[in-house]
This record gives sequence, structure tokens and C-alpha cells, in this order.
Amino acid sequence: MIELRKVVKKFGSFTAVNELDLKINKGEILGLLGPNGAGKTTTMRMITGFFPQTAGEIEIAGQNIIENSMECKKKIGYLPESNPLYLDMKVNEYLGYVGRLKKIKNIKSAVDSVMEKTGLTEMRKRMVGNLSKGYRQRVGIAQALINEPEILILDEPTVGLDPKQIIEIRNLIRSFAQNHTVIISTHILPEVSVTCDRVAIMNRGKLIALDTYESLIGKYKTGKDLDVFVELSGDRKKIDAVLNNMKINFEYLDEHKEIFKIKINKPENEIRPELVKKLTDENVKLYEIYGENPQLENVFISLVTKEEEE
Amino acid sequence: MNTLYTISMKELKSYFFSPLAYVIMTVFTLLAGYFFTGIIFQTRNANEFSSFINTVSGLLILVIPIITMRSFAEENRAGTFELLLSYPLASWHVVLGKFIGATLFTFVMILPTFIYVTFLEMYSVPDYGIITGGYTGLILLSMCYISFGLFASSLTKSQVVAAISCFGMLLMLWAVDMLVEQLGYNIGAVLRTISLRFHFYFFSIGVIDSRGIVFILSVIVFMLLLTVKIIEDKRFRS
Repeated sequence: MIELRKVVKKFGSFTAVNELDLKINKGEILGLLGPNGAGKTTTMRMITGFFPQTAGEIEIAGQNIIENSMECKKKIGYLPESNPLYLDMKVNEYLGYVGRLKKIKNIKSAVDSVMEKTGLTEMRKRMVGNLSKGYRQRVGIAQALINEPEILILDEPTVGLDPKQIIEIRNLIRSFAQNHTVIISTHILPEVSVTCDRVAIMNRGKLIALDTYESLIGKYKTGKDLDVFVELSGDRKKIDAVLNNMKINFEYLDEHKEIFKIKINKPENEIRPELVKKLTDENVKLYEIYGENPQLENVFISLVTKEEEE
Repeated sequence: MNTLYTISMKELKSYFFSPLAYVIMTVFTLLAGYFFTGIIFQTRNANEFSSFINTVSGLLILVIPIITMRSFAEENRAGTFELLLSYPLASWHVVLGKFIGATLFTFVMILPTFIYVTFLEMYSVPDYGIITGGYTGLILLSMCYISFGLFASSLTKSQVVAAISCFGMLLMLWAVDMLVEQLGYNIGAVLRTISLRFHFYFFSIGVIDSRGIVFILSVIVFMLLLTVKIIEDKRFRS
């Protein structure tokens, strides 16, 4: 649906996006992650045609966005980061205005249906400037959706909303997934696991990871850098001796029960096989040994720091 | 065509949503009324309507920059321009739409001065040549000033900067005429033909000169094209 090939964007001598290759399939929700200044917004702005790329090619549904910019723009709904709106218009007026600019045929029914979808029907006669932030965000999403675009580009759609509104907006985005291709950029990492099919992590203008949420987490699930928990019973002295021998930094969590639980703080190497062997040699009863379930935060931070070290 | 209509109507509407529009119209109408009574009552000559039109044209230098200052500056500041450019419309649609919106507003502002024409009709035998010529000139001149105003507004995010730079440009254009006498005949003649005031003078005395119309219209087209270029250049560099 959307294809970026070796896309470069330079602002003077500063390279915001560097040889980015990205392919987004139809009906997919892609989460774009990255620290500040990673080039997320720049990438989105190039796709929406706000400014052209310095080099490389961007295609939307097989059409080059520079050569067929009007056709491509008709397929896109865009919500910029700051959610700019005309504050001196009523909600239905504003949506009608956007609908006419996007050259929709049946304006009135389009406005009504998009207000229904985004839960704005009650606010239709209110001035945009008098709405709360959550409702303004809905107006922003409504204006992006009004032409029923094949591609929806949302730059930090849930920023500044309260938890209830965040969940509502997320559900809204999820509900578009069948008919629309969606790109969301965000700082909020749990959001990605809830809404997105695939995750692209960017840093300093480069794509450093692109995969499903599960496999990104899966790749990271090793014995290294994450806490390891061991449940066991037996002689405390023997256990202490084994662990101290291995020079492991550990602590007891539930020491008063028959089964102890030990937390091993972020071992530097993979220690689990060796630990199992030594403990069973000492006739300690081992019930369970498991690594902490990694969060996307860990993946993100490790990828970004790794890339920066290189 | 439809897009142009949509944009210009939205512009016109949003003028009337801000208190500024009413302040501008009040000040303009009050001052125009003051000039009219001052000039016509003192001279007791209906043909002095041309002096009145001339004075109003000076007033436009003050008023037009305030009308046009928010057109692009506010969109630049609020970021709505980014959204506008993601819609399937060309830059010139936006520029021309805003131009038409501001022009329509200016027409509404000038409209009450037609009452003075009825006064003249009631108490004298006015020369309709002067009146038609004068209003044609006034409309062309205000469109010309608006094109400068839009250009100034497209350069900045600040409405104040837009208003002041437009005011500066218009004032300089007005002052060009004063140099004509001081410079030699050749340069003076060139300056005279590019002076808006010189061309406007003929309209105000009731002469509708095609040279004047062509000159002012080409200045308008030039300034609007420049504005389109500024917008596109900003996008390509930003």
C-alpha cells in the first residue's frame, strides 16, 4: 500500500531521515516508534505530501507521490502532531469545510457518519475552540477520516488525553483496521502492543527494527539483561554456596515458606543451564526457573542504545 | 472552482467571527464619514467627490494591512497550514481563495459609503463619471493592496510583523510619487508610470484608463504569484 525506497530528507546539512526503506501492507496498523528527533514526524510529513523527500521514492498504491500528488492526497487522512484546528468554527461546519476541500460528493451524510463514528454528534453545534482536548482530538481524527481514506496517518493521536479517552481513541483506531491502512507514531510504548500489528523503531533517521510486537519481544527474551526468578526448596546453605560460587547477585523474595523464591538481578551472561545443573547436583529441589517477561521498553531502549554505541 | 468558493466563503465568514472585523469597519466608516462631511460641506461642490475618493484610498493603506495580516500568518502559527497542504488542493487555490475572501470583506467595508452618493443625488446633480471611475479605482486599488498584504502575511508567523511589513510596502509605493519631481525627467517618468497613485488619480477624476486597469491587475497577479511561490518555497526548504 505504501512503499518507501531509500528515502532521504535533509534540512540544510542536517539529515532527518536517512535511506529509509519501509513497506506497509494494506489493512495493517503500523506503529512508528522512536526517541525525539528520530524522524517519525518527518517521515509522516513526506508521506502526506507536506514536503517532498530529498532523494528516494515514495509510492502510495503504486503511484509516485510527487508525480501524482493529487491522486495520492485523496487517499490520505492525516492528523498532525499538534492537532491544528480552526477554533472559530463549529464542529459540523469545520467538518463540512474539510469535506468540501477533500472533494467529497455527499457532504452532509459524510459529516453525519463521521461524527457518529467519532462520537461527536452531541457536540455538532459547539465551537471547536470551546471543546475539551479529548473532543478536539476526536475532531482531528474526524477530519482525517471524513473522506474515508485508504490510508490514515496519525501523529501521536493519544498525547495529552486522560486514560479513559486514550482507551476510547485506541478502540476507535482499532475499529478502522479492517478498511484502512494506519500509521501511528507514538512515545507511549504500551499503546503499540494494544493497537499495532507491526512495529517500526526509528532512531536518528534510520529504521532499526521492523517486526510484529510478539517477535520483537521474543527476540529479546534471552537470559541476559533481564531478572531471572528461581523457585526451589532445600538446604539454604547449599543454595547460597552455589549462587555465591557463580558470583551471582541475588536476593530472597519469599524466604519464610518451604519453597523459596530467589530473584537474580540482571545477570550479564546466560546462566540458566549452568545454574540448573549445579543446583540439581546439590540435590536442591528446583520447581521453576524463568526470565522476567520483557517489555517493549526494554527492547526499545536496548535497540536505541545499541545503535547509538555503534 | 468549487474549492475556490469553499475557501473564500470560509475566509469571509471567519472575518465576521473576530471582533477585529467590526472594529475595522467602524473605524473606516467613521473616518470616511468625517472626510465626506469635511470635504463636501466645506467646498459645497459635488465634483469634489474625487477628493473624497482620494482620501479614502489613503485610508486603505492603513486598513488593508490589518485585514490581511492574519490570512497566512495565523495558519502558519497554528499549524493548520500543514493540514491544508495535506488535502488534495493546489497552493494557488489557497492563495486565490484567501484573496477573494479578503476582497469580498473589503467590498462589504466600502459598501456604506454608497450612502454618500445618495446624499449627493438628493442635494445636487452629481457627475456619475467621477463616481463610477472613483469606485472602479478604489476597488482595483484595494485588491492590489490585498495582494501585498497576503504576500506579507505568507512570509511570517506573526500577525503584527505581517501588518507592519505590508504597511511599510504600501507606504513606500505611495511615496514613490514624491520622488518623481526630485529626480530627473527620465527616471521620473519611469517612476511615474509604476506609481499606483498616478494611475489611481485618473480613476478618481472619472477617467477609466485601460493602461491603469492593466497595470494594477498585473501588479495583483504578480503579487499573488509571488505569494504562491513563497508558500511552495517554504514547503520545499522547511
